[in-house]
Amino acid sequence: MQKYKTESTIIFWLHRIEDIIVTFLLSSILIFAVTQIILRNFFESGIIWADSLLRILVLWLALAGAILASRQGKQINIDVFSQFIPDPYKHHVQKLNFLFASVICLLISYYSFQFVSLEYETGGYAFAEVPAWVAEAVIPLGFAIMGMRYLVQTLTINKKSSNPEL
Amino acid sequence: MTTLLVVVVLISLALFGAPLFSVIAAAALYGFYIAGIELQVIGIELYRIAETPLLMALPLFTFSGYILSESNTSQRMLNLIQSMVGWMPGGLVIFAFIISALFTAFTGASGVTIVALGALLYPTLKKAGYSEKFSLGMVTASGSLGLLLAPSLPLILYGIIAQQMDLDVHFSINDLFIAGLLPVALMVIALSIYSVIKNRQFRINTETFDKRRIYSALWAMRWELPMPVLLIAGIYSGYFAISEAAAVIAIYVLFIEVLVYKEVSFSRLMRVIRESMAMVGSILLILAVSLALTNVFVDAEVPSILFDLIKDNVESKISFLILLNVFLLFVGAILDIFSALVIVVPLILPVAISFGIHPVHLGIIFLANMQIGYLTPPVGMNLFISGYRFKKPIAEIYSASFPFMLVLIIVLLAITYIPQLSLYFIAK
Repeated sequence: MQKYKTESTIIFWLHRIEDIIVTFLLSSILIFAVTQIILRNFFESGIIWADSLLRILVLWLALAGAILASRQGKQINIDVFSQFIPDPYKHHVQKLNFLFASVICLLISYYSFQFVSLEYETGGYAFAEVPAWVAEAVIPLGFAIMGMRYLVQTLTINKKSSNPEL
Repeated sequence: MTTLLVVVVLISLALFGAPLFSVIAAAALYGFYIAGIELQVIGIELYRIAETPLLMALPLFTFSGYILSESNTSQRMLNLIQSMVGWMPGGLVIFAFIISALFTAFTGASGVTIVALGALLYPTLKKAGYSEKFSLGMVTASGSLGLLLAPSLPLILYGIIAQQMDLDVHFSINDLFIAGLLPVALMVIALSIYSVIKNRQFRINTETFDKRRIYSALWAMRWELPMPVLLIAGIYSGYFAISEAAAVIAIYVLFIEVLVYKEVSFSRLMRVIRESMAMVGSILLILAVSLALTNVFVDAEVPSILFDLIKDNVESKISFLILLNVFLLFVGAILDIFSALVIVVPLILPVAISFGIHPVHLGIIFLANMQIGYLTPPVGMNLFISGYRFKKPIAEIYSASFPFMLVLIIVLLAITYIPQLSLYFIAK
């Protein structure tokens, strides 16, 4: 029982951290975009690297959002056949789906990590003084988190909860 | 042989409900693998999300749309039209179509129109004397009306995908926004005519005209009314870029709904951020992996094989368009609109262009088909949302919205075979 409680506390805080990151990224995009518009239209200036930064923030937000979506079981799927599967077997199919998603996410994480380490060695800048690999590192990181999440869901899914929020 | 097996396995996984992004990503990885390309390339492909300037509009418009549907905007819109046209026979229904279209354009294609606006419209229509079946069908069919109006997400997404493709024919997102105007107007007119004819034998209660009610309804909306003006003036005049307009609108909506109307509390705002960004994340993720898969297809010359295949069997532009409509109605019935866009558009756009179809026209045809797809089983999202919201069996919802779907199909045919409807204002 104690163990279960600790687990759910950890999960609670993991979720709050994710929420905060998403909120922070969205607010940053709003603030930078509007600052840029004001600077351009009223002061005829602007931050040179703001557009690059905004585009990178969108990538980060996309991955953070995708992590949220996999936590809430909200990833887009087609799902026309599963309604024909009898209830007692549904969670087996779901298990397979999660396992598959997990393997693919971890593969993407692995290969994009190789790409990022290559970028780290060769250098190059995303904008201003920020190296490109920093902006790109979110890809292996995001997919690793999603892969782990799907793995946990694969292991914990059972007859009662067809879609655990983990 | 192995490839065939992989394709069959992946398609089965998709149909049994595996997250679609993982299926598409697996296909892309496999494609790179058999083409002998280093799999690290997936990192470069996914990073393209950060190299597409327009994409910023997606999270921001989604965010605004979610906030609007959380607040009482829909109630205020309904009050306004009731006070203005409630006295006119048929006025309520006609303007209900118009506000549904506007609401859908602002809130994207998430079916939120039915939940936020339809849920208010349905009892209002029944109270006015419209039959239950008619009201139910009307509300369900209106749930995706307005997909072709700026700033709806699918419309922007189509523009982004097409612009990623290096086409010979160039167009801007603004062209798409303008192209959707006449087709949507035509849909609203056709649906209105049908509704008026259908209800001519019923006694519909009209309300007395009262100037003061109009003033108070307008006054209640005073903060929201500038929004379409801001958007239309901003985008259609070219003063703002679309992504900037998205940022300005998001800040404005946030300001009025949270601080002025105070209808979205802080904790609800956090939930809105979470839900809207989860949706954005899942769309962008599918977009990213599909762009990678498209490159695999292009390297394997799939579009040109597809093109030859179609060219050998299809003679004219007209027969291609007929085939296209049948195919897209089918796609719309089994795929949700975002998956359909990212998977199907890269494959058919080059073929369509070589048949002499303008990419803007194709976009309008594509989305009009998808709009109808929202009303067709087995995956028609509007049917499910209505069924869930109004607690009716899907079969009943389907038969209620069926006549509206037929009207929309007639309009779809007009849109498909009269390109001027989409292109008239662009050619100039």
